[in-house]
Amino acid sequence: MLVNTYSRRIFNMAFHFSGSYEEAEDLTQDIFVKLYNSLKKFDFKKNFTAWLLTIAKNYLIDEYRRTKWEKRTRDNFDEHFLPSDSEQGPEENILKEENRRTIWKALNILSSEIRMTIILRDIQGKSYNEIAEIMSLPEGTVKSRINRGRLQLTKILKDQKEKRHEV
Amino acid sequence: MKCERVEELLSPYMEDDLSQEDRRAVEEHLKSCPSCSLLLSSLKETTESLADFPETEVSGGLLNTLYAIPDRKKRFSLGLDFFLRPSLQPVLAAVTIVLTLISFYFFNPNKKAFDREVSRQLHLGYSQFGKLYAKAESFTASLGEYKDTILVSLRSITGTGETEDSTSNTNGGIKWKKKSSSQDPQNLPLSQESLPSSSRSEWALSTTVNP
Repeated sequence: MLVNTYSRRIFNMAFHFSGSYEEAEDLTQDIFVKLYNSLKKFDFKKNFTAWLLTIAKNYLIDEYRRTKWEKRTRDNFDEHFLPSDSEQGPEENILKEENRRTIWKALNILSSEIRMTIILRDIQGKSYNEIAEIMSLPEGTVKSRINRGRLQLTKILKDQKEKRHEV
Repeated sequence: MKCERVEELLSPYMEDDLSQEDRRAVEEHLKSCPSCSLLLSSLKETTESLADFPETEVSGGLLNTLYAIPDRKKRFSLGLDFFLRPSLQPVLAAVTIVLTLISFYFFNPNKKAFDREVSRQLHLGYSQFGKLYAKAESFTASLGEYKDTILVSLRSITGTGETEDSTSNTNGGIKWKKKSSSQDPQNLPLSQESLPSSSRSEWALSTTVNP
């Protein structure tokens, strides 16, 4: 039940965070082992999903700090993601795919904490309130981190656009 | 409003999370600043790209591993629970101490010298014990020799008459007086000289010197 409900979410969180499919599989296993070990400590008054995602977040950030993932390259975007179906023209689709590739790679330049908030907000679509609970931070801090992360990614995208225009 | 300040407000502006006043100020700035306008359109593309990352399916292999975790944990914890029982804790502590001491012995760089010293001490102990045993044997034998004399002395103590018989026996100027006994020392089965010093206990030593 636990695996059916949460494995996909945890795996994708690990995959987007680490950028490596194999690494994400190992991390998901480790997170579930940690989760089973911590189940006795769960306070039933709290939100279970937020609690579980906090365990996952803590584990991913600790592992990131321990093993220094930022030095590694992320998996090739096209290996794992199919082109998105869009009603726009082929040219727009190509540009969109290019943007996605750029953002996928650029996630590696973000610090672990900012990367995690961006994943929770912009990829998983969580509310600021939920993110604040998962990250154990005030909502204001979460907002400023998301703002900073988005600007970092956007500047990379903007630079690429400008280069494209020059060409 | 400066570009740096607008940069900070672009994200909340996009999410409609600004006060009326800030919103109006940002809009006015965007009209006059192409750089910030381009930044806003790029910011929108960034969030769109991120939202467009599809969720990846979990492989069957990983799912099977995840399903097996509780069983694996149970098997492991069963074995571990036995050793983690509180009643076993003193035993485990003692075992740890013993193993530590054994490891001190086995990993000692002067192990040979230590062995030699231990065997020397053991031999010393054996020889000390042998000597002690021999001494005890000789003491028992001497006790057997004086058994008769001691018995006679005891009999003379428990004999009749409590008079102060001053029968004396001179020996080298020292006078031996028989206390509380009417029996003549001459009639004793053994002469005074033959008595060992230990059996003279019944004889009070008189220090009067014969003129």
